[in-house]
Amino acid sequence: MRRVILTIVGTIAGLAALLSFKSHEPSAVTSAGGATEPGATQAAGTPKPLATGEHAIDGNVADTIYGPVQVQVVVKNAKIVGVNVLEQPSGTSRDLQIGQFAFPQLISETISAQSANVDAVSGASYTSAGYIKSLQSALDNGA
Amino acid sequence: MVRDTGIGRVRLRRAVPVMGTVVSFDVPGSADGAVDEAVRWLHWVDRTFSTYRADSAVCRLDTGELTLAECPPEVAFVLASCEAVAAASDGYFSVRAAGALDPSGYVKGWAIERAAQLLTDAGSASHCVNGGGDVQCAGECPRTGGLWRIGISDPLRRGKLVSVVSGTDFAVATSGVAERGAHIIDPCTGLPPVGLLSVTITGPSLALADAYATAAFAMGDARARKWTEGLDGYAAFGITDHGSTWRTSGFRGT
Repeated sequence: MRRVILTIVGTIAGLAALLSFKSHEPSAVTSAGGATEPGATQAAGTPKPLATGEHAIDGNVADTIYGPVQVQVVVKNAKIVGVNVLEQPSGTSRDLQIGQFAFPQLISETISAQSANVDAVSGASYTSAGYIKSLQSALDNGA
Repeated sequence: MVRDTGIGRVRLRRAVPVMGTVVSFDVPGSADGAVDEAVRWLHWVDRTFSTYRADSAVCRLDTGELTLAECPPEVAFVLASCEAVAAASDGYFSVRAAGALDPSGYVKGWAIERAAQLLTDAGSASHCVNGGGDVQCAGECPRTGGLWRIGISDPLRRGKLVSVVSGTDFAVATSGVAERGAHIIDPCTGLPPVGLLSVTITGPSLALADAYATAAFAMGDARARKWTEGLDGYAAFGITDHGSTWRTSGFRGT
C-alpha cells in the first residue's frame, strides 16, 4: 500500500509541476521585481495539524523551469483526505496569485478522481501532453 | 506500475506514448511481454497511417507516390471499413472531411481494438486498453470480479465524470470538443458541428464505436440523436452545448 501511495504523491507532484508551468506567461516573468529571484521558492503555507488516524507523506520535489514544486498527501484509512502544497515557485506576484488559485483546484480534482472508482476514463481525445492532466493518468499511477 | 488486486492476482498498468497520445494498458502481470508486442503494433500503425508523417503510407498514397496495391494490406482494409461507415452514416463519417485523406477517425479505435486482441491472443483473459480516451475492455474486470467500470469525462468540468458505463468485453469511444479544439468538421458544410459537446458510443468493437462517435459528433445534436438510436448493437450518450444529456434506449450508464 505504501508503494501505491508514494506513486500517487509522485503523480500529484507531476501534475502540480505541469499546472505551474501552464500558469506562467512571458509577461509574468518580465514583471518580476523585488528581492525574490525568478525560480526561487517559498513555503506555500503551513499544513494543518494531522487529525487522529491521519498520516502525511511528502512527495518528491519536482523541478520545473520556474522552480521546484513539492506536495504532501494526507492519508487516513488508505484514502487521500487532503493534499498540501509544501513548495511552489514564487518568482513573481503573478505566480503567487495563480498558484493559490490553481493548486486548490487541482487538489479537489485529485480526491474526486479517487472516489470515482472506475477502471478507465473515456473522453474526447487527449494529446500526450494532455494525458498528464487526465483522470486516466491518475488511474494509471494507482489512484 | 504493479499492484496486487487483493484477490491473489497481480495486475500491471503501463502508459505508453504513441500515436500522438498515451495508450494505457491494464493487464495481468503475466502479460507484460504481450504489451510490448501490442506497443510495437501501435507504433507500426502510427508509421503507416499517420497524417502527420509525410513518409507514412497514407500520406504517400494521398500524393500519388504509392498506389493502394503498394501499401500494406491493412490500408486497403481500413479504407474499405471507412467506406462502410461513411455509407452507414449518410456521409457524415468521411476520410476526406477536410480534403486530404485522413482515416484517423477509424484508425485509432481499430488500432486499440487490435492491440487488445493481441493481448487476448497471447493468453490474457482480462484486460483494458485506453487509447487517448477510447477504451476496449476484454473479459471480466479483476478488480470488481465482474463488470469493468468506465467513466465518461465531463467536457465542461475538467477532472469530473458525467457518467459511468459498466460491462464485459465492450468498448467505449467518445468524440467531442477537446483540447485539440474543433478537430471534427461536418463534411457536408465544412464547418464544426453544432449542438454537441461530446458523444459517447458503447458496443462490442472499438473500431466501430470510435467511427460512429466521430460520425455522430459531426452530425450535430438533433441528427445524432436520431441516427444513434438506430445503430444495431451500439448505444449512445450525448452532452449538448446547453449542458443537458441524452441517451439512446440501449445505453446503460449511471
